[in-house]
Amino acid sequence: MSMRTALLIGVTVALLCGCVRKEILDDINIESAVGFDEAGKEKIRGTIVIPVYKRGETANKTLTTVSSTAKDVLEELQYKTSEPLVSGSIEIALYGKQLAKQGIFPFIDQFRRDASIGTRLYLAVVDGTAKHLLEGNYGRQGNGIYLSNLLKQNIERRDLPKTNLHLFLKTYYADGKDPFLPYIRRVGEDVQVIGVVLFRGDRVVDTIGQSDMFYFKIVADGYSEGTHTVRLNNKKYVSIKNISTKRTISFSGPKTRPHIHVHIALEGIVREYKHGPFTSAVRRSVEKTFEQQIRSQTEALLRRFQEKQIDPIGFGDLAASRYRQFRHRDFYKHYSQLPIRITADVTIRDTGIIE
Amino acid sequence: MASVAERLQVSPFMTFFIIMSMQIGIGVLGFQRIIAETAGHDAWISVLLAGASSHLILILIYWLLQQADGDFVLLHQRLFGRWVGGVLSLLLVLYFAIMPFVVLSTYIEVVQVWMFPDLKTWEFSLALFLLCLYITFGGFRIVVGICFFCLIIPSYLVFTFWFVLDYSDFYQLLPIFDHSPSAILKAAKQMTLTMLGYETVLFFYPFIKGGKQSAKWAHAAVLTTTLFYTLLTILTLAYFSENQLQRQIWPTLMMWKVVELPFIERFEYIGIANWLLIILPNICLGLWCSSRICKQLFSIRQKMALLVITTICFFCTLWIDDRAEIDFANTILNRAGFYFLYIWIPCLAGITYIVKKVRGNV
Amino acid sequence: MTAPPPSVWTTLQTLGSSTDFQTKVYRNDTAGLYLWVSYVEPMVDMEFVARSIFPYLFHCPFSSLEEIHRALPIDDAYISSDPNNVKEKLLEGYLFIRLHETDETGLLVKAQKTLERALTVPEVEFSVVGPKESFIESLETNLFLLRKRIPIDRLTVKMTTVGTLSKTKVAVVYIDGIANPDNVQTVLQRIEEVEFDEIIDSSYIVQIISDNRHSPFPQLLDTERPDRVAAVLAEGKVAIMVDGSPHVLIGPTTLVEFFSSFEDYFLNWTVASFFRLIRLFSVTFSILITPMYVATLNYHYELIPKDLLGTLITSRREIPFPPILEVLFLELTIELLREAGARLPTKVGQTIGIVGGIVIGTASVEAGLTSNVLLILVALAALASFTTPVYKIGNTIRLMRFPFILFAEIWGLLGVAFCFCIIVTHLLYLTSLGRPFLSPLYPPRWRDLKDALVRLPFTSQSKRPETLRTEQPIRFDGKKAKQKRDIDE
Repeated sequence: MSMRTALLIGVTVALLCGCVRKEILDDINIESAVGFDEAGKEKIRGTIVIPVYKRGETANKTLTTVSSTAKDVLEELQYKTSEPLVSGSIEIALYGKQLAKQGIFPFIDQFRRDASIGTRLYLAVVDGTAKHLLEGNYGRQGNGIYLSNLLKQNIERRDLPKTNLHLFLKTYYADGKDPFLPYIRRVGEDVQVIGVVLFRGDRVVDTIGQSDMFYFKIVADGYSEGTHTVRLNNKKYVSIKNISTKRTISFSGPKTRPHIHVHIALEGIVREYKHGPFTSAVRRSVEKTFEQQIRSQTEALLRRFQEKQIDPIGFGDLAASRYRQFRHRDFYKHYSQLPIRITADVTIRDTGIIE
Repeated sequence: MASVAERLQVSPFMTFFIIMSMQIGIGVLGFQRIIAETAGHDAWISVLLAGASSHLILILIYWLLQQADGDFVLLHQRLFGRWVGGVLSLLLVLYFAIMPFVVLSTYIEVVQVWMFPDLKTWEFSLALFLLCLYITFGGFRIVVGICFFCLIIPSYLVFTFWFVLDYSDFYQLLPIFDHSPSAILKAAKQMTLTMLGYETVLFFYPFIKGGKQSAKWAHAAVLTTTLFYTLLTILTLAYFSENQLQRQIWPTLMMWKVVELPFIERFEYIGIANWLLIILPNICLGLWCSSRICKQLFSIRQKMALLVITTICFFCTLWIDDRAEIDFANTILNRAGFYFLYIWIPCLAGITYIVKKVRGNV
Repeated sequence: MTAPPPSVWTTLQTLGSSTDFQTKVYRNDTAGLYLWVSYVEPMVDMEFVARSIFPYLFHCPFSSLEEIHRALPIDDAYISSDPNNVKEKLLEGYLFIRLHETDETGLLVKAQKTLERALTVPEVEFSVVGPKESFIESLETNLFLLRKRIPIDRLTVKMTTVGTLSKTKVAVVYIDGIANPDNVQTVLQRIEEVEFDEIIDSSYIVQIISDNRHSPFPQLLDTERPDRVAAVLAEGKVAIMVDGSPHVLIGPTTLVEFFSSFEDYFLNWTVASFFRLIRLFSVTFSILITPMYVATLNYHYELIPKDLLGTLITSRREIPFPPILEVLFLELTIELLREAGARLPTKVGQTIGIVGGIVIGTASVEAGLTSNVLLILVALAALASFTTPVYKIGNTIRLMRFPFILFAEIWGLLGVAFCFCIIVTHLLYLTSLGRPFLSPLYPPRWRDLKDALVRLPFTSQSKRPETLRTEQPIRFDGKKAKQKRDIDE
């Protein structure tokens, strides 16, 4: 018997016996978003969104159940669907604020263990309940895609710092950095990003409002592409678009109590200025005011982090890369008293197409 | 010189592809965690050290091959007599026969965890072993052809790591040499296991046209592999935080999850399917080497030896399908490889040197 | 009673049992002789005989065959008494002239009818630019076409006859001093060893002498273009020409050669290389796209980009069949259309194509039998499979798809990778006249890559392919061709 015949026979046998369990695309219910809320003592309410595709438009079907563990939620929902629920295409996972205060790791852990779940999955905390938010109807492509596009757009073009499942886990496990997530709210038939929630471990401890997100993103991500309005002291407003931001953090002094120096170099162009010609004198005053604002706002922000004993910027990890034999525990013992100096350097480039 | 007809031989530069395809195997999916456990963010130094040590061993191997006129099995017998030498070579048969089984079992495990939880082991291993028999029955040239294509075709996967850069914090690699030299060395020892594969040159050497010239290609292969592993380690260390990495069994697969292409949402599935090509040379060359030594030892037909070894391997994958057992087999194989290369080869070189001094020839 | 040894007389008696064999008696008045003229009527050009032979036969004075021989203005005439020779020549269209009915010796005069079609434009391997002639069924004409392009004495033709019934003439053509004698020897020997009765066409030969007769991959290139044959002979290959076949076989060949159109050499190298890459891409696409569809829809929904998910699901929702049946249904429909189009006369064939493409396609989507996404994919894949410049490899490619689809059905992407490995192994096993079929990819011949996946300019084609192991590896002085000049010189 030649090898070829053997191969042929063997493969045929495998073909005949074979087949692994199929998940045929149109015979499954593909979850696109999930949400978890607190539901009384030791109970959790889980909500999932299944897109219902029609020609030209996508409707949403939401299913809700109350259970005691995160895993049970999805298992129990299987009873409510005619076709198997699969979670490989989840775009976003939402957590109610109340739940997030008690810790969301058990709900993220199941994503971590499931190989079919992507790592670019967005996580967000909802002001109110996730159920309420997911029950709305947003956009033409279904809630899952709408919400993930909303966050994506805000991360790439606006002031939301980079986040996703991978980054959350990375910072959650890191010794010298604490996680943060976007904070969103349902406003009528729209969803709005209203800030960033800060975690200690997996519990929410603080919230940053919209106005501070710009400064937070600069310090946390080291870049931002958003537009920011500067209020000059003569009550004039100038709108500035960021084109390049560079953030450097340096440490000096002993490794248990280092002096931290944050330097922000920002380059921008004027978007809007309607109070006469934009002369170089005006430009200089805008630069000065903006620098001043960055300094004070960032300082307030960082002081707040120190008071709350959280480190979303990752000073601990950065220090660990500067000092040999660095011990995170020693560093955080004195974290709240560490002196942080902030300097800013703003350059406004020429003003665009109109003289 | 063990005479091999010229039409069966391959060009010296094919050594590059054989060794590289043999070195890069199932280990790439998960070696980072193990070395980072001991050497932390300095693990990439260990990779370089392991690579350097591989070069040294490779030099010894080539020196030994020249003393032995290219026939390693014969060298054993000349040095230790027919029986002891035979037993030593028999251990090598065992070593190369375990390799296909371990590689395939690990791969099937990956597939079962990531793609098809209910993939039946016997089905897939039957089909794959039949394919490997089909390949190895074609002789060394076909096996080398598989090594060549299975290295060239999946090489595009390297570019996917470009996407990882977006999420990489390279400051995590600093400060360099933050771990004790002993930790770095220990990680280097663990890393040598992933670098295994170049020892096959001991057996396919007679099949290389103008064997000696292949040395530079063998070194080039080890160097390329080392650089590849170093790069991958650096990326992994920058992508994960240290504690996070400790919780990943297959960091490379996790890194693929972040790849985003307009037409493919999730890349790890493509990666796993492609990995079949990567492990194929491992299995085939393992089978070929073990059957080749059998042929030399017992003067039986290589086809016969292949059939027997493959059948045993197949049944092994059926019986040993528990995670812990596979890990155990992996450890044994790696230990054996380590002792063979880093203890036995230098010892053998020493003995050969002494014998040569005393007897005048080996 | 033993059979008498065959004589010319008995041979003629045997032939006479067939009614188209004629023996006529004419009287030459001038010499006062009778002439017995025998011939096989369909093979003889009677007009030629009446015009150029009869006038001499009837009016010249002579008394012996030698005198007739001398008088006839025809070169191909001789006196023979060998019964086998007489039989063969009669069947080829010679006249056999005797002075007495029972004579054992007679004069054989060539009066063969030659009917051949005119040279036409190559139809299978049409090219917009470049020569427009193609081979025809007559071996002599084909050799003429070839010799005209290589007018040197080293162009060697070795003739043999194969086929116990057909007695087909086969010519092995190569350039002495360039082609590797081993290759020539292999070809000659394999043709000698052909055991078959009726060789109709060169494709019979290729199936009989191929290295692996079971492989769906053709291992000798067949072409109808004299220019292509001339070009590859110059590279050092061997051509096999079969009488009665307008297709010439070329060997040793390689897989990549099947994807190179001869038009590539008429276009600028950048354009030609681009087209070659397009072709390679389309072949890969054609083989893999439907298996990928099956694999993804069956197992890997996670792979589908979120924006495409809706499109796919809406198009699949109404379909009652699993993806595999849907794909097989459409693939087979396309094959049906192709097969029907190929069997029908040209005009009807075109209609079938249009009717099939538009009506069946749209109707099956409307009826909810297939999804429109798949319809696009299958149609594109079919289109892509027709970009192969060599007809036979196009068939192979269409066949290749089906094992891939089956494997995709059982193991998804893993199955596709598995099937790919099997096919690569199979290709590694293949040889063409003993030379590796995958060369120059494997074994890698870096230098030969100049004319494989891309075609580099002629100046860098100064060496013949390494795989062929030619006797004279250098074509022309590459350095001279590449000589550069400084500016303003």
